[in-house]
Amino acid sequence: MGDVMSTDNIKQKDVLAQAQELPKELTPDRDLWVGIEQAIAKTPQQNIYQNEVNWFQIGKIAAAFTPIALVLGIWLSSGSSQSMHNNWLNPLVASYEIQKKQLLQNVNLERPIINNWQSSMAELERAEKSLIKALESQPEDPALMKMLNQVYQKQISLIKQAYKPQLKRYHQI
Amino acid sequence: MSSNVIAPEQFQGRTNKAENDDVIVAQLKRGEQSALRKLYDLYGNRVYALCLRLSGDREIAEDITQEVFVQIWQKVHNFRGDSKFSTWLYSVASNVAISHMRKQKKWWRSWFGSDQQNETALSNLEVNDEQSNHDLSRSGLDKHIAKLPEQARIVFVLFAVEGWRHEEISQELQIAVGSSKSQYHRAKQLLQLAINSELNG
Repeated sequence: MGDVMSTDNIKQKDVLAQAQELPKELTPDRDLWVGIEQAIAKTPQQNIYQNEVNWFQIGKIAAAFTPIALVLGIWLSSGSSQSMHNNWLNPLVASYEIQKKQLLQNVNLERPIINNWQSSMAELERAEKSLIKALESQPEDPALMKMLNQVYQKQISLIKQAYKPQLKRYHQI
Repeated sequence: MSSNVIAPEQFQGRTNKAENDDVIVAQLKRGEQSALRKLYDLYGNRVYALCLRLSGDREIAEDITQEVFVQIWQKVHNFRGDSKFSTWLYSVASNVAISHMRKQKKWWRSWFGSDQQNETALSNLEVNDEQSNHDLSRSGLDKHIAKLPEQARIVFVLFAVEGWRHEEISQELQIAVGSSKSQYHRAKQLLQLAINSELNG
């Protein structure tokens, strides 16, 4: 008991003292230089102050997420991931995948009316991935379920918008 | 020897470092990419530590660190030499980290609005991200800092770890000086509670 009391009740000034003694340097797990080197090879220096919007970089970020979206798509359609153990999550994902595949099967993928729809889709698929990850920890959270549904609906809506004329013809047949 | 007295070799080291910085900055301004590598070798781990503490997330900190050095490359001509280069570098790093975190939140809100239920879900997402990074073998205090609410964490790191003044923090975060002080006080209280709770089992 005495030992417990002797270590008990750290004071706020001790918190500050501990903070000041924290190591100023920490080592990242991966080598970050490779990514920096690749980025600066394509990035010009600014000689004068310029506005921060850099569409080239935004495009690059979107492109970086495309492979992630692709891998996620394969992972979802395989249905073999151990993390997909929630009884309610599997049918939801499967239902969405079927709907998405049906839509994409009936369009000419090379002729969208919105050219950059894939980058928006990649962003939505990133959101989907984060939500599924969160739901694995908190499967009963209604807000997370609602958000996942919204993400799926936005994905379907995006495909419908990108191929609106083609899908309109398909539905008329 | 008093701890305030700088030994000759230490003084030499500091002077050399500042001179070294000047040389590297001049090379950077001439567009020499090898200079950025030297800078990364000198300051990479220091910048990463700052980004990790501000974000509370290892993967995000890695991304931000890369972004910091890319921005240094792009904007080195904005450095006029009014302060030490390292001071400017840490200021850019803090700025990039805070902007990055703001964009993340803005992005989520742009999709989901900001009603109470979604706010709760947003905080759950952040907690989950933190949990996924708890394999970090960080010191006890760092572990608790990562769990602080975002604004309290940023203020605490900048004030207590990095030595910023509340006036500087208030400008960076665009909040009142009083808010900075109250967030710092809140962070200290939460850390005190967390540490004492851990000590008492």
